Amino acid sequence: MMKQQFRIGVGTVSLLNIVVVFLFAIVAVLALVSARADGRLTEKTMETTAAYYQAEGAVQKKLAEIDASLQRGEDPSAQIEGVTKTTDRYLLLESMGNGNSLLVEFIEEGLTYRIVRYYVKAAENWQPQDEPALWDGQ
Amino acid sequence: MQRKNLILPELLVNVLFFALAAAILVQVFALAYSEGLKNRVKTEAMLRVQNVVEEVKADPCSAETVLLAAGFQTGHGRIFCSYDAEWNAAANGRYEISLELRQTPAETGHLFEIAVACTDLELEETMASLSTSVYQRGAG
Repeated sequence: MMKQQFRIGVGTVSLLNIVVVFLFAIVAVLALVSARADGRLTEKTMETTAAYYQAEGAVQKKLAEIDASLQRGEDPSAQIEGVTKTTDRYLLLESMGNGNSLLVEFIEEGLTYRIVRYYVKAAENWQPQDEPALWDGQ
Repeated sequence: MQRKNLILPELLVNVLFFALAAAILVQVFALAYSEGLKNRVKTEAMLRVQNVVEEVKADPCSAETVLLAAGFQTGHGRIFCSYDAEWNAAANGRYEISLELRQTPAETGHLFEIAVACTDLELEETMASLSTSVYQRGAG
């Protein structure tokens, strides 16, 4: 009985090598792309956080002015920029850049104010930066 | 016979090709790792800066006492704390978080101006910084 000898043909190693290098290249590129995307997200988060605290600082300075204005018995909406009066409350709007704003709603209580809402108002006309092309199901 | 003779040169070419590809790909992996590390450090720096800002905002009058108890030091008109590469508090560390707190009187209270920054002392680069203000009615 003849034993069949196992042999690697010419080109098999090359083919295997190309496949392995190709797979490694894909993993390396994916790792780099992912790290870069994380970097962009980190920068964006840092910018947004800095803008929020900047706007909050401006709001606090205006609240000091509002408090002084109410102490004097004056209407803050007539004197301080960004303050508007509705039927039952005042609104203080401070821009955070990128379309978002910090909105403070407060009511007059005697000669001072009481904050009833303090939140970030997202831009109404917000659009995603890149609209992904999604499969429409057809 | 001719085919057998081709296997050795083919193997040599493959080894060279693999070595070249590995040299390039290892660099790409190293770049991805260093970018990831940079992002992690930046995020950590931002979170720590934000933490200090929130601590001061909670009670600006006693913020200095609270931070000194947490390991911060005072000097040159600011409060600071340095950290090693693993973010453990250490003297002459790699990163430094510094706080500048200014109190200005307002008509009906006090306005506290807060500026916190995290610096990489090795690269002499500000990694994260935040500035804000807090108004306290009638505070002294």
